[in-house]
Amino acid sequence: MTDAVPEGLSQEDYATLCGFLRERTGLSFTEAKRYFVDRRVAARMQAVGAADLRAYMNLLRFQASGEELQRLVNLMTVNETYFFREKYQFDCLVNSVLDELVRGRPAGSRLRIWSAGCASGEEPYSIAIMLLENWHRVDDYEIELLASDIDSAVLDRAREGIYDERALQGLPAHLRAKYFQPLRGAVGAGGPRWRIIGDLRDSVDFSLVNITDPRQVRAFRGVDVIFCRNLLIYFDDLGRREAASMFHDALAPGGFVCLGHSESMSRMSSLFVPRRFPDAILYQKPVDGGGA
Amino acid sequence: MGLVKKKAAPETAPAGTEVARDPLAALEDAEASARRDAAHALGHAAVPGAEAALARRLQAEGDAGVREAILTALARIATPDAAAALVSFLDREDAALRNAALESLQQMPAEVAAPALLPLLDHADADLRIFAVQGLGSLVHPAESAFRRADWLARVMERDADVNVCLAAVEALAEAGSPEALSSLEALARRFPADAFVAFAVDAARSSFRGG
Repeated sequence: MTDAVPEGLSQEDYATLCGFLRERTGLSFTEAKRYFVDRRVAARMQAVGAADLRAYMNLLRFQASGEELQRLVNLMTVNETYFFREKYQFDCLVNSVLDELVRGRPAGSRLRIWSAGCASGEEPYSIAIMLLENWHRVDDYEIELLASDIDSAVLDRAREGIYDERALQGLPAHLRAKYFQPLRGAVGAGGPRWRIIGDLRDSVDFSLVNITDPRQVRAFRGVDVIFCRNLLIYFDDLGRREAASMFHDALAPGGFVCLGHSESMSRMSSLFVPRRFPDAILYQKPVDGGGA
Repeated sequence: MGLVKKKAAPETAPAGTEVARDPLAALEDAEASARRDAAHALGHAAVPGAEAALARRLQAEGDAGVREAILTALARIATPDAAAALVSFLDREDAALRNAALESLQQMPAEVAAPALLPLLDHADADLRIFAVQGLGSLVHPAESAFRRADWLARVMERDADVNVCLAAVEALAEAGSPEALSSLEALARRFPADAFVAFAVDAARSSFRGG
């Protein structure tokens, strides 16, 4: 093993690797992402001492624990986010969507919200704060917050719930004071850090899930709202279509999907109906199941 | 009430713990979720006879989620048989199914979908010819076949007797931006001189080629 970074993959090797990743994870990397992929694969090949891509692919394919594949996936996913990102969609949730969903449901029944592609937890914790602060019926229902990601390392960070200034910049000061505790002795090279309070950490159920694998998504049923924002941009057309199918299956009839501002369900699947609310457009699974 | 506290030992997804079933048999299961999973599995594994089995199931399937899974699986399999199976749904009464079959063909590689769609350009039914034009016009083409797409659509504009089929070709060309088809556009305008909409569409396409 040397310290030199191996040269980039050949076109054929690159296609083989990307085809494998697409098949196993749904993540799609085109030639335009080559600079991004090459460097990360080279780093992992060095770390495990793989002489060439063939040896590395054998490890990815046949390692019983799947540990190396998980490490590579962790490197390949980008997890830039912050609290209250695209807040208008959370406003939509508490101002319109939840009231519509609970219409006719008895108090005490369960509502299930899933943050798919939750990265380091900013999104599900933001939803929790929005519910507690802004939904007038929050105490009338049992609200289950589920959160998942394909990256095990960011899930560990999400469970830990420690954030820096950048992640909290969009949060009003009174909410920071109410839901976060400053970490003592944390002012250093990385700047000050805060930890979200235990009550909120205990309210989000994090799990490792590949959203294009039906066996893994099967654990999510009867979901009322799915947030999947800025995740499907990493998938190709068929991967997006498959993910939309998984969401359709996971949702209760009449449930909603919330996508990122640059994403449109109508370009992925015809299973959903767009619904325009005052704050945002969401996509609804028809009450009768839809389609056909 | 309010936010539910998570369980001490969170449930984990049952990945890999179930007994593998023959997906071809599971495609006929009474449970929609089993049929959908079977379709998904067939899209990700080379199973002989999968295309025909998926097409048979699609014919009878009433569940929207399963239909979508079957269509996606055929698009992912992307063999000539899968393309042929999808083409067979283009003449169905069910508009949603027709459109979904066409979209699935468009998501296949051009080298698989084009040979299945090209024969439809000579079909007696003008609606099928329109579908073929729409399908060919929006295939994800590698650069070399983009030129052939212009050829296919130019041939339609020069020869098809139905003005609506020709206009579908004009629209596809305008969207793709294929200035090499300009002479065929001019020929179309001459073939239907009394049709004001043809003149308008040809002008619009001409402007789009010039970036106007």
